[in-house]
Amino acid sequence: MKLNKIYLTLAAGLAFTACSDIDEIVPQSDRMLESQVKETNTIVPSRAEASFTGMFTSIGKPYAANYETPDDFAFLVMAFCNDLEGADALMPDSGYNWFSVCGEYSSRNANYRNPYIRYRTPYKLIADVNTFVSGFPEDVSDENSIRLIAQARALRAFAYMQLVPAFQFVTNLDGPAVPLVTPETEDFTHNPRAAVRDIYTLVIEDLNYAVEKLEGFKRSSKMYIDQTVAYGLRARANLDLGNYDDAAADAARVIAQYTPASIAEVSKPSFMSIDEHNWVWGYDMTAALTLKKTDATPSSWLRSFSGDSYSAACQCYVSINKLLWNKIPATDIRKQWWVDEGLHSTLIEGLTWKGKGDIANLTLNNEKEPFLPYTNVKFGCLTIGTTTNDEDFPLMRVEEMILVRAEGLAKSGKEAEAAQLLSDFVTTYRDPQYSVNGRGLSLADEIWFQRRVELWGEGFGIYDIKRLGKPPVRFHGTPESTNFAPAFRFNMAADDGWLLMRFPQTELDTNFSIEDNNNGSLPVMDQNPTLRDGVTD
Amino acid sequence: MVSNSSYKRYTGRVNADYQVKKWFKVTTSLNYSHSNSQVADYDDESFGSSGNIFYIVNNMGPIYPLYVRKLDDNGNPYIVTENGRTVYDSNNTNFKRPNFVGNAIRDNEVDDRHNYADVLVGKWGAIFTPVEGLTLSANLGVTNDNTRRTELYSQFGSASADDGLVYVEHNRLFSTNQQYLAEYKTTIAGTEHSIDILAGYEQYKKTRQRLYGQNDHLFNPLIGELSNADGTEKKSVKSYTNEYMTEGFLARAQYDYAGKYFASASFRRDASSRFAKGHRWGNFGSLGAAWLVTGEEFMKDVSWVDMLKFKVSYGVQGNDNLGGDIEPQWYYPYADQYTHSYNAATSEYSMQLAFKGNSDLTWETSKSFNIGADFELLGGVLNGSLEVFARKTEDLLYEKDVPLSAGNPTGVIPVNVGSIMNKGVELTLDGSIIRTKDVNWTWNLNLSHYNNKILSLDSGVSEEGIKGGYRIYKVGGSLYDLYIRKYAGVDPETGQALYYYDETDDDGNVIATMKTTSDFSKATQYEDGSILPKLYGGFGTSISAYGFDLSAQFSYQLGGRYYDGSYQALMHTQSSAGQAWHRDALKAWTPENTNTDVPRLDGDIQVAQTAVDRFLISSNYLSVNNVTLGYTVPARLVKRAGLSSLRVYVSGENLAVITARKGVDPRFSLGLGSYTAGSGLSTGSYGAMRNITGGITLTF
Repeated sequence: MKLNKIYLTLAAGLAFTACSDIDEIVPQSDRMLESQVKETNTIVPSRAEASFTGMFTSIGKPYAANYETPDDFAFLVMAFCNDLEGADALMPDSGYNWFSVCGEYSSRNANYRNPYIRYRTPYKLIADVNTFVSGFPEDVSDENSIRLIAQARALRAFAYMQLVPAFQFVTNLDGPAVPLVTPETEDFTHNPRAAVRDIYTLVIEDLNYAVEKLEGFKRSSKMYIDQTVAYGLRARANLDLGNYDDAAADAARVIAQYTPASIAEVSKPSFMSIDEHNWVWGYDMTAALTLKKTDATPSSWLRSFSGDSYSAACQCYVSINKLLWNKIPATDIRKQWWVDEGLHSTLIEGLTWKGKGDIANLTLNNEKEPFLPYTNVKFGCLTIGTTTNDEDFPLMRVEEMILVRAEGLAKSGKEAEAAQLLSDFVTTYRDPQYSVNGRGLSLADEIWFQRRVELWGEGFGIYDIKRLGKPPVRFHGTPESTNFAPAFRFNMAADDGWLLMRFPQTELDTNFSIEDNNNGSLPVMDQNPTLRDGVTD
Repeated sequence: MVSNSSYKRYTGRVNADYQVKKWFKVTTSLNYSHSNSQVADYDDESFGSSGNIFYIVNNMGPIYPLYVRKLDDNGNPYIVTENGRTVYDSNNTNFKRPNFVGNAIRDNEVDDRHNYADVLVGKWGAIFTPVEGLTLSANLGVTNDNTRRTELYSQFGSASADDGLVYVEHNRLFSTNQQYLAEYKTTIAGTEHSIDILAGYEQYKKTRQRLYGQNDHLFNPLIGELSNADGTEKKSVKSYTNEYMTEGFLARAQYDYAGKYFASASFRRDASSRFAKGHRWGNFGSLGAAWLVTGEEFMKDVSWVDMLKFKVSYGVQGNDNLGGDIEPQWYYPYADQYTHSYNAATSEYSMQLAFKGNSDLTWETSKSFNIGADFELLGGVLNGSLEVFARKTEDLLYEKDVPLSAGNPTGVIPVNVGSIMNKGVELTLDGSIIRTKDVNWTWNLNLSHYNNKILSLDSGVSEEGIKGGYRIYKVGGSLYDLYIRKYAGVDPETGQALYYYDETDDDGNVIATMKTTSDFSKATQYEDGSILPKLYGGFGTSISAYGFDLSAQFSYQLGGRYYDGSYQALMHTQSSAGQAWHRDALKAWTPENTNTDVPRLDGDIQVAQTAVDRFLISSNYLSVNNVTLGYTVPARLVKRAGLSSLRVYVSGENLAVITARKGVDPRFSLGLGSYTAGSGLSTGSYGAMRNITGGITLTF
């Protein structure tokens, strides 16, 4: 009987397929197991470099913390929050403002995502560096490996320098900062906060190593760290520590290699490509990284020219506080980095968006709402109306190093040299009519003013305020004095404990040696109306 | 009803058994179904998205117009159209909506989403009975589920910047289940000892494959296929395959004596591909016994007891599921996993650790002890069963938080940790009230109660437990314990909301408890007990008389609490301009209305999305699940038409639910949650659908 045979065959087939092996199941996807990584590295040895590159990619990777939310883009989010917690950068109080926790300072809530991302991001990089460095034998001697280690260690220093000032005033050298994690750390559950001094000892060691070992090294892209970047990072660290001579000397090494952007170059929206000659170090954002994650990018928030952004589509633009803007002289090209009350700026004259002019007032359904007063046009997009959001982000510019050197000189008794450097820079590159004493500020405050204007939006806001021991002053007593929304309108004392971040709940729950910051309280609207910062008075 | 939503379905089924020989039988069953559905764009997991039509309808202030209108020559308003399309308002009238851009209703109109699903389920079996009592069987089950989804985002809607965007996804799920069993049943000759022994091997294998891509710049704005998308910059196509497998050996023995005494034992050894080699196999089994009391001689005279049976059992079961089967990391949670990308400008690849696995991971086990009785009394007037259970789950599969300073890429590692105990009792009753030739009236009722207790946690967890924004896990507590800030009402002088806090000295020691403050950042999180209901279940009745039948079924829950995040969103303090309000906002404090528990509407943002006990309400509910009315035409009438029976009916599903607050539906979740998560039916979704069905049942 025919049917009978078919079924017998089927039964035999069943018995045969039962012999498959549970041990041979591995993913065939964008995920790879350790064994597959090893296999790949054996077949294509150059793939082994990918884990080194990965550390640099992680600096601004959209959705790096797996939240898949628009405020999840690693170090670049940390930079953004530093400005929004300061006195000079603001966003509207809107349901689309995913950073209102910074404007209102509720980012101290131990259960919120924002402080969680800002804590986790640097530690992820530190762990990656520690793993990477530990992968080499202790007596490693080949030049190539040493240069990789030097760059990795410089990255670790960078991570700690982002982390420490959030949790402790860097001027309080003996104050507890954050847990110190090195390749030797074994017990993460009893790892207390190390003193600022101890962490900066590691930072300086790492940067000394990088400066020494990267001598003569030519990097393949400005996304990596060469000796000049290492000098620049060490200049920042020295400034944090009050080693002003050293800061000035380190900054000089960077200044010698790069030229600031000219007036013409910053007379249009820019600061968007790693190829800009004034960038010393940058984050190389690629369309491959932003694909389907375009919302989690600086282009979606900080820049005002993207066709796929929260800033333009939801009228959630980042503006400058008019307290500061009013202090910029009309002859300074940087006055045009933000539109005025009437939405005018020479930077956007003649520009078009989808063929339409008058960009400031333009409305494109779902894509672009009119600018708000003082909306920034400093940061451009490679194409106006872009939907790829792959603009790069500056991590270090030569202009910053000039200001670091000026500060270093000014605070180490070389005021005249400092004033000359500052004057040469601003007169040549920003405001031909500039006079260092024009505002009648002390040299130190004048340098801080220049930092606030020049580096606006690049992540220095609240760090400078805390480093310099200044109060964040957002308004001058009346609602009209500022364009900060009521919920974000307040001043804070320079020593307000609320300026220090709190540890995320998970860290408190799992690292038993953490004692949290607990001073200060959530600012309330219009508090400290008479406080002044000396610069915007 | 949401416009542009539809559902079409075709199904077919074939069953064929064939007795090839007296000792050999083959069975086949094939089920095929095809569906084509169109669904609105919403995601009940996300909240606050202005692209979600349910969120918009629930949360947008009703003052804003849906359409752009103009006045005609006679002064009558009309809705503006453009190239035949209705023009919806998306902030292009003077009604500026501060928190809502776009227009989700418009997007639902101009976008297009389709789901096509083809599911084939096949089962084949071969059964040999070579000798009396022995059965050898081989079974193969196959499921092949092919789903294709297309999403078109129109240039007239949210994808205007991209000039239209299309996303296409194909999912293929293929699973096989193989089973080889040998069973021997016999009654020892001349005795009342019956034995049933079974042994076998089982294997389950699942392959999930996905291919998905997107592109923009649609030439024809209406065609939602990739070939219609001409974009070059944001083109993306990806695919992957993940596999999962379990296999195991099993054995079972059953014994009964004279149909009165029953005993059983089973053992199985299973392996799962979710665990590393060496940790893959687990041993499980069970023991059980039962006694049919009414089978005994001494019960023969107790006429009111028709059936009484006691039973007791103990079993050990395994669970290998952690994190579901969609996300790739949960296919291989034992292993470290890396992801990679490519930078075309520098020609470099980059790779990063994406998931930290745990090679020690193994089976979670549950040990259950059940004892109970089944009974039938008074000739069907009262039947039922009572069961008491205790289930201890050990080595729970859990995503354990690790110190963030350790730099773990996900902040968690999968571990086997802790143990919990669930204890409870279930009572099921039914019976008949009237039973005559023409009238039959029955009722049913079931009640369940259980509690949950954490017996142990990871040794690394302090005595204070694992705290979250609204819940706490600690030894002696439950998995459903609140840890929440407490509302202390309104300051009648100022109208500010007040919260409780414990005052501490500089060393963190509590020096005063339950003080009140208007500074929310000072509010203390308090342990506030379990939210679980004390009792839940259902009841119903059905009556049939003279051909008519009527039945109703209800369910209920009592004594629990529920976090109503939607209510919190609707009770904002004016901090979310343009958002709708609950009518309770009218009770807000004003200088004239000082005796209230709703604080002033001052734009205060302190609470924002943080959980506060003010938004907890009772989770009690009573729902009308089903009411059916039918009429069966007398057999003698339908016989003439060549039918054996004919019934017409109308049936309503989910007709009503009564809860502590309108809109809350505690059937969707236990209600442990916050503003954004866990609060069950959130504002981003729709209520349970009410279904009314009418039908005719014919039997030939």
